[in-house]
Amino acid sequence: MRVALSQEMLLSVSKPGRYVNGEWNSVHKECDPSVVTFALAFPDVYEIGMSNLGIQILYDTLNRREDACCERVFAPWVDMETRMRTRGVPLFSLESRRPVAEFDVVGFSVQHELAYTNVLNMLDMAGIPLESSGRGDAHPLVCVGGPSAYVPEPLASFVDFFVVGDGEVVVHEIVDLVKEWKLGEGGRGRIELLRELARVEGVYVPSLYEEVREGGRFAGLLPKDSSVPLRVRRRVVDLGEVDYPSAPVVPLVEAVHDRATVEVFRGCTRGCRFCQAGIVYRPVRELSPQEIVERAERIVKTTGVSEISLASLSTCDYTEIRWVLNELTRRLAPLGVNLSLPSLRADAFSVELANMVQRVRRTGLTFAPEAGTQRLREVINKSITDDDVHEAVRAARSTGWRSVKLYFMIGLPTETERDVLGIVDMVRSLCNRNEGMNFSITVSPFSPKAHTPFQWEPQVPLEDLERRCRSLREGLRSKRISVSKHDLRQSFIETVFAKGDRRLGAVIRDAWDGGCRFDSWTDQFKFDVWIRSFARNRIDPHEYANRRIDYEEALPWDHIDTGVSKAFLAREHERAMKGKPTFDCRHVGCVACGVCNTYGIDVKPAKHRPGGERRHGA
Amino acid sequence: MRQAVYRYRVRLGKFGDMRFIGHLDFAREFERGLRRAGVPMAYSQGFNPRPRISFASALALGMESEAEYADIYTVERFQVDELTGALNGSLVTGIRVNGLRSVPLDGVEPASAVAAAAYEVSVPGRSLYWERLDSILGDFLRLESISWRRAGRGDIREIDMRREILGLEIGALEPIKLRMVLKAGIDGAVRPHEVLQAVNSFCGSELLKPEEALIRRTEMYFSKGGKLRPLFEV
Repeated sequence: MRVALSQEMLLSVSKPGRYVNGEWNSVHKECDPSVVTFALAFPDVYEIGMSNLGIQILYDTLNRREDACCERVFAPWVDMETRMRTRGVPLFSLESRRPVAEFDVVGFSVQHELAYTNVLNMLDMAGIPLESSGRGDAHPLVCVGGPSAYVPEPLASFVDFFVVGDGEVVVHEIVDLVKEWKLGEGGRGRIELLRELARVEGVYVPSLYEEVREGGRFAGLLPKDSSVPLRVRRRVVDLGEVDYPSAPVVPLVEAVHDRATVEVFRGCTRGCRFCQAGIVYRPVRELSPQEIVERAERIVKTTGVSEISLASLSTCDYTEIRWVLNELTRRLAPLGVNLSLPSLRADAFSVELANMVQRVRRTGLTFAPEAGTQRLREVINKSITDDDVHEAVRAARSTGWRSVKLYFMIGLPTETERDVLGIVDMVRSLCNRNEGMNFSITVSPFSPKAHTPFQWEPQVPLEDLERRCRSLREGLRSKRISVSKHDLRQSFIETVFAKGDRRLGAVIRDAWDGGCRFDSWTDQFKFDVWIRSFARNRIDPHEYANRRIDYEEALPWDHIDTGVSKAFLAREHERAMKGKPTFDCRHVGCVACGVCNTYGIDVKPAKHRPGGERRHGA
Repeated sequence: MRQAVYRYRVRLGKFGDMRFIGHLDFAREFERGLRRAGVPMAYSQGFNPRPRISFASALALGMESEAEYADIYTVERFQVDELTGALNGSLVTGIRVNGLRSVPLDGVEPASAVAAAAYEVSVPGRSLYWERLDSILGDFLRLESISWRRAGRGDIREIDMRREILGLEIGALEPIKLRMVLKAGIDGAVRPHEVLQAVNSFCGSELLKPEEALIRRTEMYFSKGGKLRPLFEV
């Protein structure tokens, strides 16, 4: 049954176009009862969810199947939530406006910790019991994929199963099992299905494991019986071998960008020690240059967008980047289509690439030196020098750019006052040497993440972070410099859950109950409610965020096997403390992180085109 | 060498759920539709070249329309039917080309030409007062002036709404449909829901609920020799 949305209701909320769908390339299927229905849920607003490549990939690959029907659902903004609740309108899918509770599977793509209360809120708005233990055969299966699946425990009690790693292949294995279960005779129960799912590589069914605690602290996770694996291995696909959305859905409501994405490679082996993505997407898997060009051209035709973004964790590192940019500019410029690079390395080469793609727009370039001193950059293994940054900015200025954005982190391991002042010195000297240029500085607090060499590190206490921010601000007072910082308290909450165990589920539930929603939106974030929720559950958040963890301690994410060994992470942590760099295995040689062994992969760059230029080591 | 440029006036419909898409999103979707249809557009000069498309007027969120006008500039000459077909094959459900013609390159931009717009307003609700509606509207229109406060950018201006209402009549009963012709363009643009509100305050009752009314723009006009002509006639 379709949910009815009245005009009066839609016109009383902001951006009603978020809720009506009808976009170009959206898929509308008539489903007979044998079809597996999959509600692809994103716990943030439409515009943000529609910019997520994973959503487009899964939507496309699922809807290619005749025996599956995938529809999208996003978090209604707070104004819409109020109206839906007062009118008794349940959470519905965009395409058919069917209640989400009627779907076979509700799959959330969860990008970060501050989206957790939205997951709960969406389940509640759908009328689905929040705890997986409260759900029966008639309820949808609730699963979570995306970055949050790497630290699944805080959401464990709300989720039937997690999907760890690349979803392109495993999602079909899941749908196959659900279909068999759904059409099966004799009514096997939900628990049997979950047991079968637990045997699929990459699927983690938390209800089949039990948390062991010693002295109040997490001590391990044990399977309840021998049929479930001790560890869950992340799934890894070959980008060239799996479906990709050649006709992605074109959002009608879009705040800033009118663009589509071609993913040029997945994974990154630069080895920045704070970066989780740099571990959990290994190894680097490049798409061939020809395939990139073909995909970009096809997407322009099928979507009509005015910009193509070449996405990856570090696009300038793509082996054949120059050839690809030349070729794409040549083919797309006559169609009035621009190219964009989402992230730039701070060096002159990157500026040259930026100039190739943006001949017209001269608005801003973004670099991320991350730390202000060479010493600290060596600790975090960010392999750029002051000279690189100066070169990059000089190159930008001489080619007509008038403003540069710089990203820094504060509170990195081993950071001292001197490193903070190092940021001031760097920016001031950039300012002095580049007359007429403006600098906007974004400062984010370092948040230690699981599965990284810094997973054992504490976050610097809030008061210290605040002090360091203040001295930065004071040091950078200038007409040509603007400083913005991420909310420190949001970062604190994020860090607690980024290292969280199963006990934290109760805190999420209490915080949601206390009105927390859209915690990543500064204007919605309710720090005091979070703090009250910790207190009510007698949990000290500092124990999670601000405590140094011993190497020997069991970690609540140890059962998630990313393919990168814990020994490698520990080795990297030790090297960090000694300020020793570790080089990119693409250029120097294997660093024995373990991922290639685990997956039996031989990492090689995408094929060079005959006559194609080759860029030599960075 | 200067490229030859051709100009076409497109009359677009915006229906159903598409009425919840704002003007900028609508304009962007139309631009993408042109690109999907493979229409080679002429580009604006300057810093950030954009395909040359000029809309007559921004339709308010929530309204349907049969008559959104946009002039597009192409670098290829098209048969009207061919271009219409290509566009309609490339636009989302709810946005339709229902008229297209070649227009002279040097003509006035549609946004400068537009002088008035016609609307059809369907109002759901009870019929108790409907028989009196005709006389209410008659009395309303006989007012010499209708003082109306309109919130502008940061201020509130007082206008005489009466001068901006060029026509107001009942088009159908049960459900009631009003037809309005309202001034549009640079010197004034009263909105249909404002007229409903003004009628309500005139008769002191919530006769015509603006939030429930389905409003559809049915035509846009330019003024020629004191007469209103549809924008399509150039």
